[in-house]
Amino acid sequence: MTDLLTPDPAVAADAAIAAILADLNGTRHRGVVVDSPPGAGKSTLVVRAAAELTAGGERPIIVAQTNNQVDDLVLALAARHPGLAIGRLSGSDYVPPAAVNAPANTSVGTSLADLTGCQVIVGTAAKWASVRNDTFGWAILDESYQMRSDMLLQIVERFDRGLFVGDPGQLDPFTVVGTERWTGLPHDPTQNGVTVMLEHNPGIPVHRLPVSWRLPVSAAPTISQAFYPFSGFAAGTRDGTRAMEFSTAGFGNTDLDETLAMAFTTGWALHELPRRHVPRTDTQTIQTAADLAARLLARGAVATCERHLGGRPLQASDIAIGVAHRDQADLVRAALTRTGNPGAARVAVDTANRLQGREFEVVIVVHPLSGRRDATAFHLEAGRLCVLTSRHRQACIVVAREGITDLLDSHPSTDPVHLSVPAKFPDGWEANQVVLAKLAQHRVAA
Amino acid sequence: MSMVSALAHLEAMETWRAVPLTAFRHRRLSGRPLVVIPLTMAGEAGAPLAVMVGSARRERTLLVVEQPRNRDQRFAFAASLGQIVMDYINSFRQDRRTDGDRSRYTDAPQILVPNPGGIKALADLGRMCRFRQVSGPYAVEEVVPEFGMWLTFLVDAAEEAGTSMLLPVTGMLAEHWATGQSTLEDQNLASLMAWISPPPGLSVEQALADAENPDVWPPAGPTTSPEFDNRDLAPAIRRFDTANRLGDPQALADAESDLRDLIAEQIQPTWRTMWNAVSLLRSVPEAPRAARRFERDCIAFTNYSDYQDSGALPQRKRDAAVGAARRLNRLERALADYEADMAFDDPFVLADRRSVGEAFAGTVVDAEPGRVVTTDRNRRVPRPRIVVRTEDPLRLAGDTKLISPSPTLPASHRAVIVSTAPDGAATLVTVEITGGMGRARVPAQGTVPEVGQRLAYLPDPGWRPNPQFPEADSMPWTHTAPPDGPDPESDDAAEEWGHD
Repeated sequence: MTDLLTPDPAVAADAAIAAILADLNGTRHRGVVVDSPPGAGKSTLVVRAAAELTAGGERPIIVAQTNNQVDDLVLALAARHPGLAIGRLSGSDYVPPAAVNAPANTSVGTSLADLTGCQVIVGTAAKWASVRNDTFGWAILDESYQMRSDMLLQIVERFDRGLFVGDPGQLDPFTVVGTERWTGLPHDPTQNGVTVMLEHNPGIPVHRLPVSWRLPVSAAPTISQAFYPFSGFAAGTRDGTRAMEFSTAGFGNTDLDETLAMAFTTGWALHELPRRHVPRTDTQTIQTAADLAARLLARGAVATCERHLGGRPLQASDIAIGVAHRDQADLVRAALTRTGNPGAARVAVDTANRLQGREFEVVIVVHPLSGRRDATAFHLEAGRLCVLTSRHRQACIVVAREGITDLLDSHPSTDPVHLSVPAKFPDGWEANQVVLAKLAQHRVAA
Repeated sequence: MSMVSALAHLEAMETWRAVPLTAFRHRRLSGRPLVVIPLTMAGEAGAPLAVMVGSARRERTLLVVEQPRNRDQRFAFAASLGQIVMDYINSFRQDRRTDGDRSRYTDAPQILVPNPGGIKALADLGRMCRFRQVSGPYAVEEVVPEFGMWLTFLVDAAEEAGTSMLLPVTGMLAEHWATGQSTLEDQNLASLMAWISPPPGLSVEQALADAENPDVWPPAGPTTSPEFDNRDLAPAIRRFDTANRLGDPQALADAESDLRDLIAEQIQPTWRTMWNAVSLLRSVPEAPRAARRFERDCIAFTNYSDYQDSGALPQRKRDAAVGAARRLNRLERALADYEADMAFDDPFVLADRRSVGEAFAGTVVDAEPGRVVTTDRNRRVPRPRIVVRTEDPLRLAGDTKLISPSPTLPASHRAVIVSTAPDGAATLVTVEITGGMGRARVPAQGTVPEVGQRLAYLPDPGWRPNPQFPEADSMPWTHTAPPDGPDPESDDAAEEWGHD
């Protein structure tokens, strides 16, 4: 959704952030929700909000979901605000990485008593759940769409008011317990915390960050239409800001080169293998994904962007391969080793769940529906495809067997409809169709 | 489905016989289970039609609701069934052992139903009974609400993995035997038994063909065969209604006994199969850790008994926020514990977990038995390290806490993965031993694995602190729902029911 009336995305983003900070300073609401599309500067917002609150005399706490997220936030805060005393609340067996101990204004403690002098205290939700009796004025809950409502219930007494920041388009939290007894309840503990909180507090303002700084202009409209159909967002960069070029010419004219060329020029590519029903561990699909990464490394590429106007050679760590299942990730890693490329081991290979929140230059995706006979709710889930296709700053290459369109047509969503459960948007089936329609324009037959 | 169980199912399909999936029966089987086979009427959710119940093969009672749409008959049925079930439950409230300042019953009841649908039928019955009043309008017999509460307690307990107070027999069978049919087909008791132990003189193929024919093997409930409903049941109920309307005692008695005979024919084959399945399951050795889980059952049973004695309120219709969160936590923990217990006890299950990289076994290729570290509190503790070479497709990350089912190591053995490194097709796992070495400065004899020793490790489900939720009377703003009245006072008894 490119809005021609606001030509400068930075202005739009600043206006949104100003509105959010104004709501923080106002005293009308117990909570403020910020929906953030992929790469919209969520962490920047968290850091700014924390600084703003401390400036106003508050002593906010920050709740993140994993230790890595906490470390990243502590580092970002320490770098941006050297004058702020930052505490990192952690479990007894947590060993802080050297970087977290390095800044003079951070301290690590296992209980609040260790951190009395800190103006901002950061910790995981699990650690905050073990804190008793202390109450703070404000909490900033990062990645709050990935926090289950039962976790929120454990930490909610620690703060009076909350800023909930997160990406509603990503994967929902889940449980391995198969029970339907809470379906349709407003306080279903398997739902994410934000949904439950909004269900009980309809007056809470919901803000949206309007600009994705990560996604290139080639990707933002598609991702926005497929996964954020009602809110929408625009790319923060303009046409031509991001570009990739090969540093060598390809020998021979392989289909891999053709796919890479397509991705380099248009930002998208669908590397389509012949139609076949295969298990998810299909060797050909997996090897092709690994070969694409190896070929990209072998030929070498220079990426130009707003951070590196003069271009920067692409490293192995700038590339990720995203899959749906853990066994696929193992097989891709093995396939990467087989390519013999020395850098291949540094290519990030992981499932959608673990790629959440991460950012790469080029992402190669093994399509969750590739070669399948049926489209299950797991493989159709919009959040999964959203994570996989929105991690890249330059280009996204999807590897799939031909026939996904037919598979979708023969498997419309058949999930049971439950009373008092609002229909989930975006619908996985429809989101898949939108992405496929886009990919069809960038198809390279292998 | 993991590789090992997929292979077992394939083998079953190829050889036409059920293949054991586990070395043990992981569910406790009571010496005196109560078998309950509920049937419901089609077309109305939770309308009971009949039940066959008894705690021995020859001690069966058949109860029938002649007109399932008639609520008086339904509650008369609930009272009779409730009396039988409550007598059974109360027979376990005799022997009480004191343990410190607490005491608990030494045994717990066990109700067996044919399939998961049977549990659902009992849940519906419990929901129907537990809010009824024993005085005032629409009064029911005294046992009915108590029975409803107990049923609800049992159904809730059955959701928790590893409990044994209410179990579907198909689930117990399918947990131990792999068949050549789908998971859905495995819920059909007759065809599952046809795979495991076909009737004498029949091949599995013939037995399966019979099992799928509702005239030979009527469904094990709770729903009856539609063919039977239309052809036999509906006319019989109509004859009963007519006789009832005309007030002819002879015709009424005839119609009643016809209906009973019809339903007895439908339910008896399942009754026999249920007891065959029970003897079959009894022949499988029980897993060692089942006893520990049974103790937890006894505690839960004692607690609920005591609560009933102190004047219990019926369980809520829907969980409140804190109750739901607490239950979710309990269910997740029970599942993790049960899965770890199974893998710990059972080499077959361990192999299954190994095939998907969630456990590993291998040989110790290097050891540093004398390694000592200084803790934060300045204590010197032994922290030996070993390197295990495994050919399993390991998928456990560093810092994973481990337990070992290997018989050569003490059960208290605890370890943690330090790092993993590929070694050709195999993996070298560096493991630090953190517990189970005795209290001395030097690890006790035999508590640290030696080079050349074969051992297995699986993730420790571990101990987690009980989550602390807000008090029910001070619900925080994020989870406050509009207040709804306490359940027992509601107007359930007077609500509109289906047409008669």
